[in-house]
Amino acid sequence: MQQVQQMQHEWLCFFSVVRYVPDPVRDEPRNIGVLVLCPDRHFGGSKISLRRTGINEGTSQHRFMHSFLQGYQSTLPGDMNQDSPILSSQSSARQYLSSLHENSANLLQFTPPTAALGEPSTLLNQLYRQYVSPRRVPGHEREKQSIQRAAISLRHALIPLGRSDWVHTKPRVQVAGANYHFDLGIRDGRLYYALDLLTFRAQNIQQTEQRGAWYSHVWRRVADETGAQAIVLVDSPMTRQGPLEDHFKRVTEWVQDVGVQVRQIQEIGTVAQDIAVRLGGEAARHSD
Amino acid sequence: MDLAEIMTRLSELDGQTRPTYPRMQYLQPVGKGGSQSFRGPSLSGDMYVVKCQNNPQETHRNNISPSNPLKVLPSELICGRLGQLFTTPACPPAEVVDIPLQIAASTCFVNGPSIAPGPSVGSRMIPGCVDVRDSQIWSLPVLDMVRIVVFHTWLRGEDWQALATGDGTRGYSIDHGYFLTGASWNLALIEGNAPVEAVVMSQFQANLPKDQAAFRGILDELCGFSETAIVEQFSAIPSEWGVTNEFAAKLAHYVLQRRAGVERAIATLW
Repeated sequence: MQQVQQMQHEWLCFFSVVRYVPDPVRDEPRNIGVLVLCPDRHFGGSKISLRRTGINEGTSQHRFMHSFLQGYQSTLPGDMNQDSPILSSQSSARQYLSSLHENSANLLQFTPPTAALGEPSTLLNQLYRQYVSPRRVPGHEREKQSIQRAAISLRHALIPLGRSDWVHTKPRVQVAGANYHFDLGIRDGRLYYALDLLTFRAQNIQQTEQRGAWYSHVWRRVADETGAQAIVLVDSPMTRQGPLEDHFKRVTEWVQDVGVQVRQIQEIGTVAQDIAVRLGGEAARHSD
Repeated sequence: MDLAEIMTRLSELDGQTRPTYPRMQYLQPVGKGGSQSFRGPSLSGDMYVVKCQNNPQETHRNNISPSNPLKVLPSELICGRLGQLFTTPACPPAEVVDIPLQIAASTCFVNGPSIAPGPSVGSRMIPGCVDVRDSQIWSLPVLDMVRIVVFHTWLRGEDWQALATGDGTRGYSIDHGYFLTGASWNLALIEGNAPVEAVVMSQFQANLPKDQAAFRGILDELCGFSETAIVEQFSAIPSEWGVTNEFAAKLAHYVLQRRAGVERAIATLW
């Protein structure tokens, strides 16, 4: 006979994952939230992220989905409502989630109820992290993604000039027989801009310092030969004090001393527009 | 080691303190295979693929006896443990996990009854893999293929399945419920001395190395496992599964004997 021991913080809960299915025929669901019910703790809670649907804010679709989901959330018992019939028993809680699963087959769907042990509000947060929160991306992947996003912004800004194909990732620049590599380049044979991403996170600080030092060493040579400008896009340290901040100040001073602009990665849109204006101006001068 | 020595060793291990089984926090059905597995985290956060005592492939759960215990769970556990003896494991680690009564009562097989509570077998989930079925063409790093062939040959693989990592750099043998003696226990096979036959997944056949030299390293590894290390994987099997020390000792003896025949079996591939 099995002995059942009720451990502290182990209550029987039921949960469903809320899914947004933009095309129920293609059936490609996106997890957007979690519902958790725990009759023993009189708990009924949900966490839903409309952003995960990908629907643009400010649109009528967004407004409708927002109010629709709020409607679902308002029918949930909440942890103070001890009289809700949904929480009257384990079977009623499970039945409620089952009916959501069975009766929702279009844009919004619910997974079948799953029984789980835990403290309900802790479980809700755990399941939200597990099923809905964006996955944490490793540092080097995050950098790659930042560079790709910067490239997209630059190309977009240069479309009106018909020069989006001037944006290159990882261009190789030859100067006096030596090769130099940058994260991004804007060139048509001639190099106009070189851009690099420097991230100031504890795990890659040595790498960032080396890159900054390299810039201060080579940039004048490249600039004298090509006439190009350089921009370093920085991802500043999260805390603006302490050793990381010291590294940040030191590296940015090095590169600025050799004429490299330092801009925040979040400003890439503005940076791209500035570059487009300057290249447009140059084009106008050449055609005069 | 002879049978008596194995039984002595297993009895010694029986007396040792056992760790507490990880308790499952929740379980969700996985796939549509015959054994109807479930997937979920333990309360300490590790993800498992779990088979329950009353999975559909256990044909005689209400009628187990000392000579006929549960089949799928012990086979999964033993083979999962033996697979860890290789330097690069041949399969995901398997261990006993506990399904709490409350979870079992509220979790059902697809269109079926509730799952059974209590000690079950959990294989650690390996994320980012694809399932490989018998009919697919598949090539993996040679060493992984060789290791799986040796593992399957040693433990009499049947109804085999595998996982490949999403980048194709690793392969794992999974689903060992029918290993050792097939869908049910076969005492004649366990106590007899039948020759060992090579077991090769069909999708390996086109890419298997053409000579035995490629198998040398893995075969040497297999021969290098101490008998004690092998026998120990047959201890600490939950009593609820009906496996007595005597039965476990016979099984261990059978597996040790099979090891001696693997190299000869592999040689028949060419």
